[in-house]
Amino acid sequence: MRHLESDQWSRGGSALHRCDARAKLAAVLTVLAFVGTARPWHWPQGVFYGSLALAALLAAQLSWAGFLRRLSVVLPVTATFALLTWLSTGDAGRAGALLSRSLVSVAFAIVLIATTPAHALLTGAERLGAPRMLVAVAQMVHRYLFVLIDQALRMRQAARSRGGFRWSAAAGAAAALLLSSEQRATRIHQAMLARGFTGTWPELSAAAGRWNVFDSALAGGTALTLLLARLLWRL
Amino acid sequence: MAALVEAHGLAYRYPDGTEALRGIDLAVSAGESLILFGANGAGKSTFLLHLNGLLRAARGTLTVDGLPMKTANLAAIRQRVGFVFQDADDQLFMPTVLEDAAFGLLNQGLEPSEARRHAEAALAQVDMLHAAGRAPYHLSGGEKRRVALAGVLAMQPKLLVLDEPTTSLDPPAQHKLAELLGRLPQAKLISTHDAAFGQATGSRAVFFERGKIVGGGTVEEIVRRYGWAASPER
Ligand SMILES: Nc1ncnc2c1ncn2[C@@H]1O[C@H](COP(=O)(O)OP(=O)(O)OP(=O)(O)O)[C@@H](O)[C@H]1O
Ligand SMILES: [Mg+2]
Repeated sequence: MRHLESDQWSRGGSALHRCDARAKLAAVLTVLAFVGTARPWHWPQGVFYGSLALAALLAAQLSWAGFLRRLSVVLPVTATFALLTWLSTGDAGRAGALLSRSLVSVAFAIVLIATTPAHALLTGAERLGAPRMLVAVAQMVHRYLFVLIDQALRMRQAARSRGGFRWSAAAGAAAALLLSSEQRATRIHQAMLARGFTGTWPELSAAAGRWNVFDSALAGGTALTLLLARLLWRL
Repeated sequence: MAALVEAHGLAYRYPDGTEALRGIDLAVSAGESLILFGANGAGKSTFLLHLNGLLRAARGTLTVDGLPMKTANLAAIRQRVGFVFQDADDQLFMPTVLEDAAFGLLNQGLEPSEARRHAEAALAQVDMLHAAGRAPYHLSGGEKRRVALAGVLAMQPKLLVLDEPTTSLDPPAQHKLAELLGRLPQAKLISTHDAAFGQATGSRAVFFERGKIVGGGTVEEIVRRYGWAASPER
């Protein structure tokens, strides 16, 4: 069973990686709120939030290749929307604003995900008040995804070894995949119960859950900076 | 001395109607190592799954360390029974080896620092501490098996349950596992198709046939009586 690459990615050693998930989550939510409500959005806003994103990226010490690859996943979608806006309204400025605004938002989201393992992120969300049920479901989906991917890879391997794999035949295989994944997930769930799983994912790293000065500085500093920038320069 | 595991007339039928257990009577005392032999589909795995309440018998009684199998005792029973599943891939689900070894301890409510200490000790016990930071999915079959065992040993169970632990292990790895099990003081219930492995690890054996235990004795006796050494299935 293979974990998603992002889970490996999120285990770097930068100061941001070591921060409490709640602090990072709060900071990013704050940024997104400010980005979403910045009116007007002209180049000063773009430059300001863009450089904040750059600073976060540098602080997280992420690989540029990895970052750009993830950014490129959303780029086609946002670019299409921007293009449509441009074509339908003829307003290039508005299209550019749309593009830069969403890219900045996505950049922050990538930094958050890249510096926080998924289960820490979800636990953080729960501690910040997200509904427990929602978090539990998200955690299960996150785990189950690995099972599904892994099972699909195994089945493709088995199909190849028996004379080739065609995606056209894959539709029929999908049902078998879901069934075998379900059985596998049941066994995994049994193994979890056998070791006393109670519904919440345990967290080993002592840093998680211990809020320190640095976390306050991150969450508070972000909010304060953005508030001042908004009040003083309407950013 | 009271038996660690005591089963009387245990019967289980799967939801699809398969009668997998038809009255199991068995007692296992502390420190004993019991081998479960029997053909494919005889009910060994089904029986083992009852020991920590993952399956619940429709008829019969089961006590573990004096605790009757019932919902109120489940947590206490699971703390006493360490279960190593046949497919280690199903058992290793945390992102790193160390986190996986600590999973059960954290569920028990141990402090993270405490859990880490115990998990590291268990990994050292199975000679896998060097891999603590690695992803379990990148390990070899034998290494996975040992990490799975560590995750169970870390919880310091009184009883170890291993379902076909030699699956996907090469002979040296099987040998190493038998040696390791021999050093562990816990009582063991081991289902296996491997007569040699059973002889190396067991003090006693029972033979399963179509949901019943049809014979018991020393491992050698059982292997001889049922012709298990020449068994085609491995
Ligand atoms: N989830 C299930 N649903 C229905 N029937 C099942 C299920 N699991 C096992 N069985 C059936 O129950 C019987 C006992 O199976 P069990 O897995 O306990 O045998 P086993 O002795 O462990 O065999 P093996 O040596 O092949 O592992 C078999 O007839 C099997 O087909
Ligand atoms: Mg079995």
